[in-house]
Formats: sequence, C-alpha cells, structure tokens
Amino acid sequence: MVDDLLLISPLLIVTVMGLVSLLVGVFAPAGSFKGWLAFLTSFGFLAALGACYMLWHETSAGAAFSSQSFHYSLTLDHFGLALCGVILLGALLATLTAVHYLPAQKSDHAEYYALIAFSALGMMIMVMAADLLTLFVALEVMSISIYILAGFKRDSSFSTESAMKYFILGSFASAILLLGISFTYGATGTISMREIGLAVAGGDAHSELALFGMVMLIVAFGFKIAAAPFHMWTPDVYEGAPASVTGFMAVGVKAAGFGALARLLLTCFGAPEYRDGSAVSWETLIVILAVISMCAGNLMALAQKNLKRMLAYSAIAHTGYLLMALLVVPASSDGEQALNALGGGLVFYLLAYTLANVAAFGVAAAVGARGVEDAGEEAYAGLAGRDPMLAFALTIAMLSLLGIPLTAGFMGKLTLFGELLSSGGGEYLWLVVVAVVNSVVSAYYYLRVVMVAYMQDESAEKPIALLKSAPLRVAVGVAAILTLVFGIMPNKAINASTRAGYSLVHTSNPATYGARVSAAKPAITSTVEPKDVAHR
Amino acid sequence: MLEQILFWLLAGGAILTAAMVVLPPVGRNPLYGALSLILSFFFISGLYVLLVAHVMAVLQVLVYAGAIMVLFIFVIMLLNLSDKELGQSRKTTAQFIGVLAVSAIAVKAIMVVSSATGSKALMAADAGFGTVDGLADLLFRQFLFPFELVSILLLVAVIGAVVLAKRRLT
Repeated sequence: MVDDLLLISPLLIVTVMGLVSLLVGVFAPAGSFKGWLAFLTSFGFLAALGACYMLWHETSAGAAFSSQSFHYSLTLDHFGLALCGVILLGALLATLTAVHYLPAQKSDHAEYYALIAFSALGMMIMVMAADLLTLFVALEVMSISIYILAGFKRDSSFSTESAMKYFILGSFASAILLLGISFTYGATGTISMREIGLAVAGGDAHSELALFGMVMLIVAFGFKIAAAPFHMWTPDVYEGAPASVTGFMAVGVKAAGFGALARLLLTCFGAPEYRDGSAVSWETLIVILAVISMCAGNLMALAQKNLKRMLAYSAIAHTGYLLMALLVVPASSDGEQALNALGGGLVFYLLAYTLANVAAFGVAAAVGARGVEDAGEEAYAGLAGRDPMLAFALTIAMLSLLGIPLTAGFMGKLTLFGELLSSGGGEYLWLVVVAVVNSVVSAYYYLRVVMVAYMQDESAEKPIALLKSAPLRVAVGVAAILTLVFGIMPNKAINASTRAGYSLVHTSNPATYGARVSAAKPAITSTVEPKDVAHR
Repeated sequence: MLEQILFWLLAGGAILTAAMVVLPPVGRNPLYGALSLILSFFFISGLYVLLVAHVMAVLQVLVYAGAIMVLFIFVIMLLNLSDKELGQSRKTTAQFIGVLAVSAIAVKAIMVVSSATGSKALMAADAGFGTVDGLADLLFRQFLFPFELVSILLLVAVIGAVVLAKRRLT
C-alpha cells in the first residue's frame, strides 16, 4: 500500500499543494498580495516534477500497483510520466506568469493557484487513466477547473462570456464522451481499457457498436484538443480568458487530451499486433481531422490581428500536426517500432509546443496586463524598443511554432514528419506534403508578429505600459532558453520521448499487459471478474 | 410480457417528458421545463427498477428529482423571468441543421443497437447486481480511485461557485 502511494506521489504532491494554497488563502488578509502563493504552488509542481523523474528511473515499463483499486484505475508507464512531466512544466511556467498579472487585472485571489493545481491533477490522471470512469472523472476535474479559471476575471464580461461559452460547449462534449463510453460498454461489457481492447481484438465485441462508441469518443476528444471541425470555441475562449490562464489551458489541455486519446485508441481500438482482423479502424477519421485542422487553423490564423486569437487558430493547426503522430501506428507493420516513433513524435512535439506557447502567452500577459483586454497589434508594436528581452523571447516562440531550425519546434516537426514517412513507407507522403505546405503558409502570421514587434513603432496615441514582473520574465526566459536548448541538443529529450512511446508496447497492448501483470501479481486476467480476486 | 409493456411505457414517458423540457409549448416557460425534467427523472428511475438496479432508482429520485431539481426550480423562481426577458423564440437555419444532424445520429444509433441483440449474453448482470452490497463493492474496491477523485471534483465545483458568484461587500 505504501509503495502504491509512492507510485502516485506526483499526484499526491499536486493535490496537497492545491489544498495548502486554498487553506492559506483563506487566512491571508483580504486584498493583500497573493502572488507568493504562486511560488508555493510552483514549488509543488517542481517537487512533483522531481517525483516524476524519480519514478521514471525506478519504474520499468508498466509498473503494476499492488492494491487492486489503483491497478484497475491507473497505468503507470513512461508514456504517462513523460506527459505528466510536460504538463507539470507547463503548469509551473504558467503559474509564474500569473504572479503580478493577476493583481494588475484586479483579480488576485488565492483560489487561482488551487484551481491551477487541481486542473493539473486532472490532466495528470487523464494521461495515466486505465479505465474510462477514471478518465471521465479526471477530464471533468480538469475541465471544470479550467472553466472557472477562464472566467476568473469575473467583473469583465469578456472573460465571463468566454467561460460561459467554454462551459456550455464543454459540457456538451462531455455528454458526447459519456455517450461514447456507454456505447463502448454496450459493445464490450466493460469499461476497463485493457478489457475493451481484449474484447475488441478477440472479436467478442459487437464491432458496429464499438465503432459507434469510438466515433463518439473521438468527437469528444476532438473538442478537448481543439481539432477542426470541433474548434469553434477555441478563438473566443483563448481570447477572453486571462492570458496567464490561456497559456496554461493551451498547453495542459492539449497534452492531457492527446495523451488520453493516444492511450485510448491504442489500448481499446487496436494495439498494433491486433491491426489485422477485427480491430476497429480509426485512421481514416484521424486523417480527416488532421487535414481539416491544419488547413482551417492556418487559413483562419492568416486574418488575425490579435495575438491571443492568432495563437488560438495556431493551436488548431498544431492539433492537426499532432494528430499525424497517431497515424504512425496504423501505417507501420512493426508494432514496437511504430510505438517508438509515436512517442518520439508526439511527446517531443508536445514539449516543444508547451515551451513555445508558455513563452508566447507570457508575453501576451505582459503586454496585455494594464487594462488592455485583447492583445491587438498596438499592444506589442515596437516591443523590441521597450523590452528587448521579451521581444526576443516572443521571436523564439514564434520561430519555434513555425518550425525554424535551431528551435525545438523544428526538431519536433522534423521527428514527427520523418517518423511518419519512415514507418509508413510513403503511405502518408501526401499528408506530410500537406503539413509542410501548411507550415510554410503559417510563416506569414508568425513572422508578422515578429515584424510588428521589431519594425513597427509604438502606437503614439495610447502607449501601453508593460507589466513589470520578475517571475514572468523568468518563466518566459526559461521557456525561450529551453526551446533553444531542445532545438540545438534534442537527442536526450527525443530519446526520452521514444522510450515513453516504447513503454506503450507493454501498457497499451491488452494481451501482454495482462500477462505481465498476472505474472507479477495474483491472477488478474481478462476473464476473472474483479470481485473474484482475493482481498489483499 | 408485463416487463415489456412497462419498459415501453417508461421509456416512452422518459423521452416524451425529456422532449417537453425544451419543446414548446411546455418548454417555453423554464419553470414548466424544469418540472417536466423531474417527471423524466421519475420515468428513468422506473427504468432502473426494471434493470434490478434498485439503489440507483432510489438515488435517482432522491438526488436528481429531489435535491438537484429543487435547486433548479428555486433558482428559476428567484430569477422570476418575465416574457419580455425570455424574448421571442427564433427558428434559425443552424437549429434546423442541428435537428437534422441529431436525428441522423439517433437513427444510426437505433440501427446499431437493434443490430446488436447478439451480444446480450455479455450484458447479463451477475448475482448481487444493483444491491447496496454490490454498489459498495464497486465504489470502494474496484473504483476507489475515481471515487476519491470525485471528492476533488466536488471541491473544485464549490471553489468555482464561490469564486464566480462572490461579490465583494464594501
């Protein structure tokens, strides 16, 4: 039991930090500066990051919990840990951008930091979830925290509107997710991902029902990761929410959504070994979503003058690129190699995306803090003259999102496209061509931000004061530096993400995972009902 | 046979009352809509009884029809919406497309489910299903972790209610 608690220590640390900041906030005098809580919460994220690092080295692929309830609900593998790391890094940096931003927005409440911690908790559990019930509850913990955070500036109708919009559409997506879970349960008679996988692969499941459920699940996740055509909420919510929240939302929700989606699709609907035969195929749907997301996101981003709105459309485009990473599996004939490639592409790309977005939204927070709600062009025009460091970080973020060499974004795109080509053997060549053309198109709007920041003069009639905040500058600076570091020396990070993908060989393959666990632990196999297992 | 008749009555009633929540003339007034939702919950609770899930049936009435809907109605009455505030209902093209899409999905769902009668054996409930014992076994053993996580979810919801609704008293 104690071992189990050690295995979930990252989750426990984040929970405790959330509760502590909530309690401390109650006793802090009203109206006092709450920014120091950000350091407390960041310390928690850092500790959880350390715990993830420790577990990464301790755990062989697919460590099993000794207590039954954990074993059924969570999967601990390198894939989950790596994504937890990405989420925690994003949360850590995004929290630091809020320290002075919130007081400037007149919404400096202690609950902010508790909500950030709880939504990070939900995200981490999402990528580790082993059954659909845990997945759903974790998704709701994450979503509801984010809805509240989006409306955190409660005296601004702009922010409240974005929260309301996100809440209503998000609840609708949750309903569709539940419908998908119900249909999957109807087809297979279980909500454990591993047993669904076994039933689907073994032909016990009613394949049409399972297919219907899977489509619903993909639609619901498509909403969460902002894939077109389920992206309508994205621009309004990204624009209306406070910039520090948007930064966290952009990176965390995407990493958690992709982690959970990848695990769900691979475990339930066809581990590579099961591709032939009865496995329900999802690649066509993913291809369609990827193409629409890339094209729609990029085309609509072209017209955006507002930094936050532009980044929202760019987030949709990046969802398109990221979806391509999932296609490595159906494209390849070699299952293990495919999962290596998936990890290398997906996890590293998410890391690069997280760093670039944290930097970009950090700058948006700095320029948009003093009463300016939308970060239009006039907000960051001539930024280079006012603050060279922020302008430089913004440039690196934009170049990384665009995918210019020497940045992490370039290595991410290179790995992702390269893996898809090499494992698919040219099957998806056309898709890579579409993606590259889209990347070229995206140069227009990314480089325009850089141009406005460097070439244009500050608007004379209403100069906008920058937010003076050391923690924000540290967060933006660290994100920019890490973007460069992972762009120049990506080997270690790519190796780690490949290893994360490799761990899915054990944990996403229902047959081998079940076998491994039952060899190490008392018999828990697919045929034994949970309550038959003896008490421990 | 009796079970069949009961099922169709309850299922039909549940769908009809659920539709009445939003469809005119009943759904025109939010209060009537909420009352109709309560009726729908009672029908669904009857369906749970047919499924031998007695605890669920009782909880459905106690929690949904009882606690939650009372709160709904309380809020609607507090708002005291007049016809002017409710505004005219409009029929837009988007609504039309939405109805079409939902009906298409519903037809597909019905077709899929009716073709799936073969997998009935999979869904047979085992002994002890639906009892307090069985439910406790699921909640506190197999699904202990999500059960604990729900407490965090509720905490988050409480924080949200306070953060979003609190006005500074100055």
